[in-house]
Amino acid sequence: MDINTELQEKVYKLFEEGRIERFIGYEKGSLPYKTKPCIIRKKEDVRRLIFNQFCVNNLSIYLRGSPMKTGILANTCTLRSITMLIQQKQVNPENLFVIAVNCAGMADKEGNILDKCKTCNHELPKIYNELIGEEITVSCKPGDEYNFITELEKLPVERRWEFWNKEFEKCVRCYACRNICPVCFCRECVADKTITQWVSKLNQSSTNEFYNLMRIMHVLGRCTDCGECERVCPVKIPFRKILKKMEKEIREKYGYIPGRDPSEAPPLTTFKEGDPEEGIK
Amino acid sequence: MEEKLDDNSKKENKPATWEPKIYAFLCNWCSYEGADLAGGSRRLYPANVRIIRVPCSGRIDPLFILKSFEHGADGVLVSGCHPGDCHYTEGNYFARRKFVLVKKLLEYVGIEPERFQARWISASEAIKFVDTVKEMTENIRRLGSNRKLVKNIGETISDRF
Ligand code: SF4
Ligand code: SF4
Ligand code: SF4
Repeated sequence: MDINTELQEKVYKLFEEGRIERFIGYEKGSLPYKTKPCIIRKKEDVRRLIFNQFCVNNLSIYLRGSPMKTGILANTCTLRSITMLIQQKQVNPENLFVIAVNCAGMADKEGNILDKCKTCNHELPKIYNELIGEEITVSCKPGDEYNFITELEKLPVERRWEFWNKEFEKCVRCYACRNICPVCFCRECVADKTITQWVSKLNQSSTNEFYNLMRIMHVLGRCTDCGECERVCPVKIPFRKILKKMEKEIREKYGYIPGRDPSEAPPLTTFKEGDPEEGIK
Repeated sequence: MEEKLDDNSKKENKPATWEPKIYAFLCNWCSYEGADLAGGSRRLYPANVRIIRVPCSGRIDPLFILKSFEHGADGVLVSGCHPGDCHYTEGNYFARRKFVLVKKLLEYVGIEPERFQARWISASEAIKFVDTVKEMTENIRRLGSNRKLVKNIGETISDRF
């Protein structure tokens, strides 16, 4: 059976059984290589649902803050973000029905597999209710996912500064990176505060750096590398180069991989007495 | 932090007049007391350090560090009680993870490692405080004034085009 039919039948059944009040999935976009997120509220509408290699949006952001019984289609990225949102108490798992889908990687319009998918070796976290799609094996060998940052890591400090300064200087402060990020769920973001203005509104490379470094610090240990911030950034700041580096540090130092298990504590909210003290004397 | 923005030494690095400026976030219960003891026992240390007292090293938000650089600090020191000695039992354990990661992040984006330092200094370790400040001042003097992350009032990116 083709995956779209399988998905539509499953969702139809869920609506009939009254297990969900809405379903979050993808529908056809304006162009053949585009899809867009959609929310289905009636069982008659399930035939809009599709899944293919252009379903790149992370659907987990539509879950936050809703008390409705919700079904959701989740590829690996979305499911890892959901795990994180459950862990952070933003989503109630009791209201959730997850249809996970085996994901062989997403593609751009030329059909090339995306960079983030090339470095993905994550298995589906075991929090789904049903699984559809053919079984696949993860493509990237463990340890290889950090290869794309080693070049930057090896540069001297001044050259790294040049690189990042040039990138952050381009930022136009649209805050799209924050708005799309599943773990940026603050009611009031520090960047929007005007009384005690932490983040200056001046459009200057240093204030852009301040904003971007702040956001990166805030997602330390919670970012699941879904790559959405990099995808939506209009000036294409390579966020994954920095987020992946921090993910690597956290993995090496604290043995923590985000988005694996909803009952784990995020690394910055816990400690061990014997934690490494690199650089602290 | 009065002299933060109108400091001319930021714009031109004049070696004759320029002095490194170090912002130090010190825990009230140990490092601040240590600095106090250094003063009380008349030990000389460079006047380059500006001390900001915080209730615990766990109170030090990474934003404080970024903000210090933005306001023109040439170096930032954060310091708290030795692990196990925290007045609030475990504040410095949480702080430790933060400091380690922030240090990595700052180095990765190209801030010289000497500019951000974390130390454990207890209330009796006046000498360690003095030595730390001396060492940092010397290192930063060698590096020169910090131009990274510094906010420049009155200039925007569009002015340059
Ligand atoms: S990759 Fe970007 S959007 Fe995704 S969780 Fe991390 S910071 Fe947020
Ligand atoms: S950038 Fe920080 S304050 Fe703003 S929404 Fe994200 S986590 Fe919250
Ligand atoms: S999406 Fe890109 S341009 Fe927009 S605020 Fe984020 S980094 Fe800046």
